Amino acid sequence: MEKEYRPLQERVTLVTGAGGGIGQKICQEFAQLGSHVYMCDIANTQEIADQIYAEVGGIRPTPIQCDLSKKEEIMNMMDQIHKEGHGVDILINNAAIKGPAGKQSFPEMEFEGFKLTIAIDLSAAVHLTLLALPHMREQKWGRILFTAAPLSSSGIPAPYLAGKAGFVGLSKHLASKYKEDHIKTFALALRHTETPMIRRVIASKGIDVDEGLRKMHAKSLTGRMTNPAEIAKLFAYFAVTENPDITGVSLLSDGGITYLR
Amino acid sequence: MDAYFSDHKDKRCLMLGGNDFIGSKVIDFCTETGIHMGIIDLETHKSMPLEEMFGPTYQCIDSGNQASMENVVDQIITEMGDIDYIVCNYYLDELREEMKNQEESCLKWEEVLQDWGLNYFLLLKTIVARFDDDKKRKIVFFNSARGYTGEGEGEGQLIPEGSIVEAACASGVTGMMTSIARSIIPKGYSVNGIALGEEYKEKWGHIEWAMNLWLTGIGEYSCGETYRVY
Repeated sequence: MEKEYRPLQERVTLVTGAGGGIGQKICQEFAQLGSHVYMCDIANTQEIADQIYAEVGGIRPTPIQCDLSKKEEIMNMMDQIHKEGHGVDILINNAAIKGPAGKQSFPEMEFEGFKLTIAIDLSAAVHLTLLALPHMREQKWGRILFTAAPLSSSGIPAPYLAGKAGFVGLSKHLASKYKEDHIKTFALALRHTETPMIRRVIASKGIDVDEGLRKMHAKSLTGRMTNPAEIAKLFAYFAVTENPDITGVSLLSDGGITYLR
Repeated sequence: MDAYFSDHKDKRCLMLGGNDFIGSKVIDFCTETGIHMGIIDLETHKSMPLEEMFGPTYQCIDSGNQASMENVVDQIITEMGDIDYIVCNYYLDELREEMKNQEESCLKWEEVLQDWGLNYFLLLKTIVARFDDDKKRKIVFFNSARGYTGEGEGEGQLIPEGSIVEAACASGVTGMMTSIARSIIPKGYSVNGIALGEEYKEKWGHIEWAMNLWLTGIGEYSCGETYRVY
């Protein structure tokens, strides 16, 4: 893509879970399109922000450290963005953890672990949406994007899937309620993405990572898994469109695994 | 149809959320079909008439409090014995009324998530931990058609009215119950939902039909499915 193509030059994007994998690639893609990107993560993303700036130029991304399980930190983060003279024009709810609850099956799942996971995977997106909406409504322009998953994904713990399904519903609700305010939403339902987390999960099961990945690739009709860069382009493709009817879209991106295999 | 209803006689049902429209209708349904009932309400929704009617099988909990839920479930089980049916109901009509005149807020979200999603989770966690014996038990959960209710019939048919908190929580409940269903259906439980649309109070016949479908086991092969009452 030509560096001159910067349709999001006047836009501020907040990406959660920006410290790696899909989130990092989304930040890079949106920075490439000219947006001022706030990179929200529980870890410090300064190094990644510098790297993105070096590669794509434009406006230097701003790292912003925040524990999304804590409402106060979310509010502080939004305050900081406002104090810097910005409202969030594009909100990308990407952060999610499987958390301590992810290792336990129901009903052994600990309630505290359940609450922590749901705080990050669902409540944070609701809080951020509520806090970002007034600015979007005032300026009559906004994008709220979600990294979701199909309900049929196997082996997903209850609070994680609550977040993913919550994203789909939230996206559809916001799309219909705020269409007149030109706030558009998009939920990308993903399965089988080749991220560093997937590699760690395979390794944690004592399986050879390359062999495990080969098996996962083979499950898809396309013979491959999707990857963060491809996902980032999908988000960007949606964000730049001005067609008012393209909103509330819930796009399954799964290599045909859910319904065709 | 009557023949199908007779299957419920002397079954035992534990319901979360008795003190609202759906709660009272479920109580009527159970009474008419010979089902014995235990009811759990939130302390904030305590009903004196229900307490008088059901005595020790009517209990209230502190919302989102695991110890409180476990204590109350144990008390009711002590009174009633084994449980055949579990009905999860949330005070949806009250929320809808409130949100007509109330601003969306982070605080409201936390309250709704706790009273609805977290309490569903706590009740089912407690019940499944108490009964792990392969006996067939039926779980019916009430949800809102204003949220995402799954990938079956009506996928994507989300009703636009309502609030962010309702849409988000209902959709989250769909995801949570799908995952729980996957875990506990092999243990003998059936798990299915009923999603309430706009004029659901005028469509009790639909709701009753769906509840009976799930509770009798006629619809058991639908795993984690939701019947939508539009």
